[in-house]
Amino acid sequence: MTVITTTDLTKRYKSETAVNGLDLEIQDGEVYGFLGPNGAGKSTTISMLMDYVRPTEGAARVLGCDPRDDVVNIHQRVGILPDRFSVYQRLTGRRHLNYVIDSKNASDTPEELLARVGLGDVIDRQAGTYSNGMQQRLGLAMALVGSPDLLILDEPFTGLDPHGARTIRNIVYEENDRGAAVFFSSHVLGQVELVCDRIGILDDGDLIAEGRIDDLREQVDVESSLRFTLDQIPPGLDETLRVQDGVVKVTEDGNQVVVVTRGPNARWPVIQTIENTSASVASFTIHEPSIEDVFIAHTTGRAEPERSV
Amino acid sequence: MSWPPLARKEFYDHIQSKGIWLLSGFLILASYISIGGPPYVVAALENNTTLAAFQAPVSIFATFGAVLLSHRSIVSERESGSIKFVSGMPVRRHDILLGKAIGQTAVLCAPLLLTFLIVGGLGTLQYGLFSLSKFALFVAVSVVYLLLNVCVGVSISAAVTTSVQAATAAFSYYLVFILGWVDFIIYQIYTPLTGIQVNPLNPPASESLFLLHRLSPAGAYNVLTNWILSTGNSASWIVGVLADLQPNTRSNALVVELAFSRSDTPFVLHEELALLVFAGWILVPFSVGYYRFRRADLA
Repeated sequence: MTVITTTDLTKRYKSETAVNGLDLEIQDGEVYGFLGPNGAGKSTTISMLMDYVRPTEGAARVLGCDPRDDVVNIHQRVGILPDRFSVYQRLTGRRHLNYVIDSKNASDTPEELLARVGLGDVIDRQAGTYSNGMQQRLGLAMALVGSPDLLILDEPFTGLDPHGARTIRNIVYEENDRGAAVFFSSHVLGQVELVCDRIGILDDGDLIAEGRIDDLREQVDVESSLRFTLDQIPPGLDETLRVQDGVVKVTEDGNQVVVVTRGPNARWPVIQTIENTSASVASFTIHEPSIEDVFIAHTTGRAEPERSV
Repeated sequence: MSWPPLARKEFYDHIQSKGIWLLSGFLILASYISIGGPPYVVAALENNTTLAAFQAPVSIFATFGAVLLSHRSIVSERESGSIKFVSGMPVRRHDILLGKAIGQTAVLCAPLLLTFLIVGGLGTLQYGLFSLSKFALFVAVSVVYLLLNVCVGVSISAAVTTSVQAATAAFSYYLVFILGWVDFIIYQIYTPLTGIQVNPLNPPASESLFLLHRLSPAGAYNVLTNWILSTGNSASWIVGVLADLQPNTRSNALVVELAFSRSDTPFVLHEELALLVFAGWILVPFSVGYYRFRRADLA
């Protein structure tokens, strides 16, 4: 079953196209990361899924319903952590949760949900006194009310310290284990790699790449480093490697050789060349391109310069 | 019926605001100093004199509080982004408007009821116990009057997209329809259209002028409260109406009994119709606000 389907989903404002012909399909039980620079159209897409804004063209289905017709049913089953929201300054954490529990007619308790996000000890403080990170945690707790079938988290890592980011990740794992699908947008790449089954990259309103993170790495022309530790370095090895297709740089350091390759098919021939020498390989590591490299390669069409291994 | 959770949230939120307690103070003070009046007021109202003290303070201060609170209700949440929580709940857009309007009216009932109880009690010490049924009716009409003003404010808030637009519309409404209506209709509508100069001390027996006067929320409120206290059929303040009905005094009140003979009071000037005016001021702005908000982009 699919939890989110969009077909040719488009939103145009007067002078600009925020989202352009977006086709997405998110499966039940999936954790999907929606990546893109600020202003790429991620929040606008989420706003259309939630019926905060209406598409100019195309359609969306969330949990089998059209947000324009069945918003009550969708909102009953979706937990939303909005982007750039503000809390009610005068209301306590408990009141915030009670409002959502009341609205969704859920059986959760504020204590239990706020404890899950690490706000158990400030439950009766006014949310206006919370730090940004605490407000973000409060928003997450509100999204968890009623054990939603789908969690939509818009930039959940904004304003969070590493502890907060880990809380979000753990909750995504827990909710996913419970059976919920998770759709989240982010421009914080490191976190995405840790939690997502699949990612889509949105740039300037267009979905420019989509797939498993490993597959996306393969598709782009980014550099990886291969580091071999050999018992001895055969003479002429660096010249042999340097002329191979896709090899960018070869450096020797003691009995280590570091080969930087570009493109998905360059690594295997390098490994074969080394194995065919008289030297025996003591150890071997590959430094894969980071998600950030993949992201930048996809959004600008070129890879970041090589960085140290 | 999905509005009650939002109404409760609104109540808990705003009951903690300083503005509500400031409003209570103003309302109590203004009503307290309005108790009594010239001898003919006390002579006409007797032990109900205390009730007359509420009319002007409720109409001027309580409505100001209502408009001040409600005109920000939707637009401020759109600007802060918290609207994404409110409209992310399993509710339709009309539930959002209803929850806001009912929750905020409930909050405003706190200063209103406090005023009626405290000042009512203080007045009783001076003028004796008033009619409890008239008191209950006066309170009920005042609550509906607050609801009306909150509905206007919420509707304005739902219909516009920036808080500047909301403030402009809300204060225009307050100045024209609550504070300055008599002068507005006489000098901006009636005289320009008919060419008839109006001397408020001796108004012409014009059905349209009298009708216009009671078509504003403040005019209708005065008609209903004057009706409850049996002071006279008029959209003007109680003190002015009673002064006009004295043999030797004149005021700028427009009193139906003085302009028309009892037998040919035009149908549209009967007091009951002020209830329709109230209904219209709730339903029409609400429909416009809902129409604009129904498909609005909220993010």
